Amino acid sequence: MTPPTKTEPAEHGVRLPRLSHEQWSRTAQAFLRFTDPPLFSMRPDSIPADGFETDDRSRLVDSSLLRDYRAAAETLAEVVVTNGEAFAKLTVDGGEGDAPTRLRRMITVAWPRAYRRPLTTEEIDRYVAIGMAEPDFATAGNDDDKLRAALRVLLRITMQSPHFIYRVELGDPAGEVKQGKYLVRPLTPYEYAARLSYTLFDSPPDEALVAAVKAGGESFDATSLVDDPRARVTLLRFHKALYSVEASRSMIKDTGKFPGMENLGLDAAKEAELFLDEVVKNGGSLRDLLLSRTTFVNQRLASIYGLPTDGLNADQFVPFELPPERAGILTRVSWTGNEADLFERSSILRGVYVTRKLLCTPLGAPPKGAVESAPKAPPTLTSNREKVTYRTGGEACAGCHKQIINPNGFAFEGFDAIGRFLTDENGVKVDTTGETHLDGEKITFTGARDFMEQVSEAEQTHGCYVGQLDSWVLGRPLAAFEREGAAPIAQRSNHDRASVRDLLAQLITAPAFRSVVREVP
Amino acid sequence: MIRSNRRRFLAGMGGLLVALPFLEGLERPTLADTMDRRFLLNFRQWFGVQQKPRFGGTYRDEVERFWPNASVDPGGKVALTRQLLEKTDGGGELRATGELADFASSLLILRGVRVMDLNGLHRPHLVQVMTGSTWQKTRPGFDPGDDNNAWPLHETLDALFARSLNAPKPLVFEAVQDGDSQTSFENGKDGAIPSMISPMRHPSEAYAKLFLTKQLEGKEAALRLRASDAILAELKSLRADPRLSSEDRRRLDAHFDAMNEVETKLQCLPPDINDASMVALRDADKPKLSDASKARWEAVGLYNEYVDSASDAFLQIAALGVACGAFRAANIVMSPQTNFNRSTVFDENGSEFSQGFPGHYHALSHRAFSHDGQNDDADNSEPEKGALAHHRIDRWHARKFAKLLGLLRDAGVLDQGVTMWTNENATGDHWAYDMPYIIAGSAGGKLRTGQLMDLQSGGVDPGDTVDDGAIRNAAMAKQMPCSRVLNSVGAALGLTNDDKSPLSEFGGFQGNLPRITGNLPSLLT
Repeated sequence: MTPPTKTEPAEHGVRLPRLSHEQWSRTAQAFLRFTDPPLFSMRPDSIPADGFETDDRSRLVDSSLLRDYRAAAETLAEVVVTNGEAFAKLTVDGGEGDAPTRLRRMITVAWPRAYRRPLTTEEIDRYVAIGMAEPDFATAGNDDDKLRAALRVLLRITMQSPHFIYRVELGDPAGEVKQGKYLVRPLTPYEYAARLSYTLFDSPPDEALVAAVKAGGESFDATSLVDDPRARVTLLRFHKALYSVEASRSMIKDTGKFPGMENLGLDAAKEAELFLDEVVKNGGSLRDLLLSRTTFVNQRLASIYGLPTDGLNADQFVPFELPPERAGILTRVSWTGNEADLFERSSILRGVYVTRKLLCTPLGAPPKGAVESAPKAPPTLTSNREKVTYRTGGEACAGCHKQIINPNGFAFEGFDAIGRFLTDENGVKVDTTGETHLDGEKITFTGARDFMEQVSEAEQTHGCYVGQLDSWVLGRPLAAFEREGAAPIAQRSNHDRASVRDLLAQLITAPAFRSVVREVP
Repeated sequence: MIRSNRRRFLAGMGGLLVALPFLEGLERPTLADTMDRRFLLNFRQWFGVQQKPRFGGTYRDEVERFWPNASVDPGGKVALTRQLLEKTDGGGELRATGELADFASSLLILRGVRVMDLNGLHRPHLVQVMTGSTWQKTRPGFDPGDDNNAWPLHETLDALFARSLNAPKPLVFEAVQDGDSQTSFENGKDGAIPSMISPMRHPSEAYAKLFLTKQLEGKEAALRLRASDAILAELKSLRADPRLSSEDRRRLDAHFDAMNEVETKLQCLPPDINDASMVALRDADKPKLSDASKARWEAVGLYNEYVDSASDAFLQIAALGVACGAFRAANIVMSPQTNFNRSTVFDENGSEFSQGFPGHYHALSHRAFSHDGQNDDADNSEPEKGALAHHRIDRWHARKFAKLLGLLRDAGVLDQGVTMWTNENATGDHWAYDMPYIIAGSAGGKLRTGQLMDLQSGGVDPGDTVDDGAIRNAAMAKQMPCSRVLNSVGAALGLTNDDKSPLSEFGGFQGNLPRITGNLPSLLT
């Protein structure tokens, strides 16, 4: 792996990624041997605009969250010491003997489930001492009550400890390599097992995974982990975020112009979810996501798509093949409807999405005041395309809009604000043609399907997708050297038509996923 | 030391004491030295203010009694001084904003601001004031055709602010209220429509919840302290690991600060309830203490005598909370239901209002004076007296706002945040142009305070006042959309767009009209 340049962002030095709230809960479940993850209300994390829900940059520990952690830890500690079944489940790790003996053994055996690594002797000694120093430990009448006294404080400490809250990834010093100004250090087997498990399953590693990673060493092959059903759930979450499915759930349409379309977003998001999961389940590739016409619709969506509605109802979503003008996720109601306003499709939103998120072409923000000062389209212009072209034709706007944003949006001009296919608008044929650039070459297209077919062949599309999947997996934006490292995987996506699952497998076995990088102190 | 300053300014809240945090051993500055004190308070009045409407309407002939008595052309500005704010019209009444004369240099009074959609009456305007976006008719479970169920398109600015700071969501204090105040909204979960933040209506309960329930005593407190000490030791040990990157250390430092803040807040002790400074809180509790029937206490009518004390108690709680760092965003919604009696509104300088007055505020805003302000159908029955009564009510609100500013100034935090006086309408006849956006506090020097600005872009043409449609069109064309004011306040408070530039993309939706965003550089330093 090539080390980062000095201009790389500081995030690449992070090795204390904080658990998500779901992960915190599942770690507590595994630690305490609960049947289900305990539910707590925790201060939600915000998601960076240029990142995903896995992005660690916003996972700060602030006072609000600390109070939530404390409340959760105190509640769970009380459950364990007051509920006989819960107490037995945890203390079984202590075996037989007097209270100090059982306490030491319990910390030795059970605490690695909390910290995802064995504790050092010093840590064990310290926890035993803290537990035995509790006032109630000395006065308790029997060994179980002594253990309860010790656990009451130790569980509070443990579930608020930085070793519980963060994935502490310090790496294996024995394998450290100095490269220029940087130190590249492989993850320890415990760290790698934790990173794999939290990334793919949103849960702490189980003993089997830890043992397998330890036994396999550098040659451990994590590829088969992506076949676990939990990894499919992870991929669905990624795709829903990437294709704005969650955002589409709340789309609002003017019911005067679009009667009967209240809460359309709920149906649209459901369809998108079913489609995205179907592609992954069947071993589909990025091309399938971008081109497939397979879908699942209820009665309302079928009417929007121009499909027969006989026998359909509002609740059941049944498989269908969409008409030929559609191609992939970006021609569904969820995306076309989301990239629109209450009344009208938004060629600009669509173009910006395609440019930034489908092709990863950087776009700056509009110049200050450009939006406000854009001229109003005269009433003589009849089509949405004409109006958008007029409004964005000024000097301040044309640089991005004329060459990049508008053409990429106009490819989808044939879908109105609720995703219906339009052939004419106010008596004029809808113009979905255009020219844009892919892989640095000019291309022309006739409409959404033609556009998506060409996009799905472009190197930059696959590079963009793999980069975003890698960013999801690593929980942060990629550095240039990491994007370069993922280039062969992007090529497999394009030229070998590798499945999405296979791409994920490649990423979690890549050097970037198995190591930490930091600056030389 | 800043820490002692902190103790001093909290003491200014009325005897509040802050014990030194237990995290004394930290090798880095504690929170008290580094605390980010930004806050956003919204003081909300109902039913518009008494002003001379620029584009006409029912009250076109009324005397101007709200805005400062200064000649400012549309697009212009003038420096605010005590003298200007106290200037009357030849011996006439003090303008309502004149009650704020003590705070001239901390004020940014904005005239010429409209909501995004001037259609509708009360709620359609109200929900735009802090979202800067038009409204929708999609209140869950209610008749979509009823304007009174108007719902915002998205979260309000205070919610965005709190969310951006990872702070607790905004608080809503309703100082005597019946029904929804529809003041603060957070974005719905999983894309659902925005949800209204539930209000706190009992000052003493709010006080206890915010400041007292965090107190622990005896065994449990000692146990929590032992756990905290052990966690702190682990944090320090981990932070000392040489294998950490500088970014890791920054992250752990933030964690330290958060621990410090939590523990400090534990000891953010309120004054004793019998302290002289707590008179408002005690008074606000009187009905509850004297009346065994809680249902009767909650009946609107019984509140009326306690408007002053309930309002004052919430003002005190709001100021204490932001000074203490207990919360960052709060709304104090003044009462829409109250009978403003002689003592609160009309008993100035020992002279009783000539008619006596049991009036109903809403009816008064419609100038229904001849029916003792108790009949909304008697609109404009005695316009001059009604207008004067409305003005007196505006001044009562202004004095309450000034009281809030005074508490914040005494606590040393007035200029650390932004405190706004807003209204659901601009006038009693429901127009929502020239909306009061009375801003106080510079957000740490980021807002250009000490100014009166008219943000309207041009003068009023004769044809603008012909009928409602003309008024609406003229105001829409010439007045400043409130989205731009909110973006400016947000930018001053350090909020940013997705690309980290100062906030300019909040709200701005106008239905089928082009979205209007952007902040106003003229308001920012």
